[in-house]
Amino acid sequence: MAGLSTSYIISKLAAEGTTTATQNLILSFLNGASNAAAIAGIEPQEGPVYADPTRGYGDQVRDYDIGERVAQRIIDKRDCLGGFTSLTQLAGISHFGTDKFNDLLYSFTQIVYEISAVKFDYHTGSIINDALSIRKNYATPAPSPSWQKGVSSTYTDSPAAYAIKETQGNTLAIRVALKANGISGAYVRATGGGRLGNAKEKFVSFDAAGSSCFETFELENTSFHAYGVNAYNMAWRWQWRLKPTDPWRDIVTTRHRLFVILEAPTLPWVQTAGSTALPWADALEIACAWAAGTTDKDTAAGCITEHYNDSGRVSYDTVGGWTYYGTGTYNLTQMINRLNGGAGLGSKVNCTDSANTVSTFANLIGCDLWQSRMSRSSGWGGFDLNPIIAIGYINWAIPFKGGFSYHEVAWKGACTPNDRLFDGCLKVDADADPTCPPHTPLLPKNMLFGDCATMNYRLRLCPPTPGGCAACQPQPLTTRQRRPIM
Amino acid sequence: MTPTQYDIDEWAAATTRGRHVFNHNYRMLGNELRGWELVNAVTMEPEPGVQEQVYLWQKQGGSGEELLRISLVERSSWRNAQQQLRGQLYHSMRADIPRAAGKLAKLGDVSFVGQDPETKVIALVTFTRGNMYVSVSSVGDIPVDVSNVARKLDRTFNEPPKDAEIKKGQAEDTSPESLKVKARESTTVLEQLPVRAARGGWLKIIAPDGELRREDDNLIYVSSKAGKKKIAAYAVYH
Repeated sequence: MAGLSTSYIISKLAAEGTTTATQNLILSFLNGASNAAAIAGIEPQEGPVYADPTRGYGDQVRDYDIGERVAQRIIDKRDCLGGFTSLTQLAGISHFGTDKFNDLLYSFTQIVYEISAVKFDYHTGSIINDALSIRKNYATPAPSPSWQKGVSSTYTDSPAAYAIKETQGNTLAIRVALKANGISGAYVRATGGGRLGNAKEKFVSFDAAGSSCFETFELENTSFHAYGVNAYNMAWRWQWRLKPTDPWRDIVTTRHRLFVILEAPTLPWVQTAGSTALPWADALEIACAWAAGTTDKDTAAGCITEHYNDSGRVSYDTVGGWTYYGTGTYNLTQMINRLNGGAGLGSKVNCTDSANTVSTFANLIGCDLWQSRMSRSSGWGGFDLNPIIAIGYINWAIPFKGGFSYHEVAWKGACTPNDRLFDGCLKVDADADPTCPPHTPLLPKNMLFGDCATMNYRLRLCPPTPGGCAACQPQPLTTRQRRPIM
Repeated sequence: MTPTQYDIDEWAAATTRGRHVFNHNYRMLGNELRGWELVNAVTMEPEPGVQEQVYLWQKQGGSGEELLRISLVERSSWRNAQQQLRGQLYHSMRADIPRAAGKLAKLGDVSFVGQDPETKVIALVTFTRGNMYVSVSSVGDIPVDVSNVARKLDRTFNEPPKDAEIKKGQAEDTSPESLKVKARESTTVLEQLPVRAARGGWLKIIAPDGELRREDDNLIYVSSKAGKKKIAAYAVYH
């Protein structure tokens, strides 16, 4: 079969009243197809080109649409021409006959052909029905809208973050902009969506130019609340139909990176539009992975403490106990770089770096920790230590010939002796006598600071002496803070 | 709490050269340390309004475990630089970082060193020279001796450019005419420091005595002795 003639195509387009918009859609579709399957779909299922049920045999069995062989011939001709500029260039393609040309016109004359954008965070100032405001990192805002046609390709290109506590029991929704050709309205839905759920079917209206407003789609079958902190890749298969009884036709599949946290982040993180302290997707990747599956704040902070201490990417500065990642502003950007395998600012850290890291990641997923120090309340000389295992080491040792000038941890509440803390910087001895071997390593996670009478953090860190436990006193009035991030 | 371990008054009393040395707008570009590759350069903020330039260098041809971290803070005066040093020492968990001794004792106006406890190499040197605060640390998994790098930086900030560097155009003598100053009166040596620095390179000013300090965008000179003063000023290009 020699295919269609140019004159047939011209007369057919005229007879059908095929608009320029429709012709351009077809040309765009054919020129944009990466391979034959992109035109034919995965046979024998329907692809993007549908058999016109009112023409040809009409039984949808012998009335197959464009198959892979014909699709390949179309692509070969397209490549030979350097791209189609007119539908008349479809003339002469073997086995591309009147029925298949009809199908092509049918498929694009009335169609919802584009998901233009998807917004997860559409309600600034509230996170009870939608996603948090986020950014990619300190230097880069998150894409807005989160998903955009022609911009978003991979899952991570389209991030979104939801807080379990604030969204619990509420119907979540997204906002979506679409485009259509030759119709004023259609039913649209998205299947899939994993634990975020699918987008419920709704009728969408289009203006004369074929554009919709940002339409609110409710999500249903949302289930992430039961699974705690997590990060997911999820995809939506967007579909449309003209009438409620029509079969669904595919538009596109959009891919997204979903972060689920316990509740709204606390300082240094904010929800202020435009702030560089909006939650960073780059930080959420780490925090959500480290705390994956946790459903309460203490367990989540404990997991973050543990993963940081065990990361293998940083080790204690046994030379000077120097602060390397920031005393005034915490350089989270460089710490993330280091944790992800880059050089960052080097492998050495101290307690301030560790308290910054644990508290900043924990607060990102909804914990409420502070950086706060312990030291002598007067004079100088620090306080004595029991043997500890510093981060990055496996041996028990007492650093600096006896003690610390100060120590800093991620601390809860008012950072007093009655408050609990998380120490990613070192392991203490868990047994009844931390001053002597044998030692049993214990990473302090949600451990009471305590006093010098009962075996808690303070007595595990310091010997029960005037220069040890008695000298190691919380300093919340002068040191309790949440350092800003950069 | 006012810790007194680090006696800034004693440092000041011992500071001579640094009182009349001033550097402005020094930046590392990557060609300063032979055998090392600059892999990261970051501006930090140790306290509001203070910028710290941090450079991470990696040993060329190494496994990536030999890393040097150089931290530089330009303050408005040698006194502020020493306060910066003290502040940094107070952010160290080690209570007794020792003063530099032996060959390193001459480093900077005041200097401290730390040895790696296992290999005994000098893995930390921190000092001030004039208005510059400098810290050089070994921050990789393999400790490296940082003392030579620290010495080189001290020379960079302390010594005038060599004649050969000026002839090659690597530095330019921009010294003003001799200044006639009155004892203990402030005299402006250079105006618009940032504008001058924007022409490229960094500015190095060395006075014969007295003290240099920055006030707003101007460099001020004060001497206890009146008379004509020849103040050397250079624009140094890498």
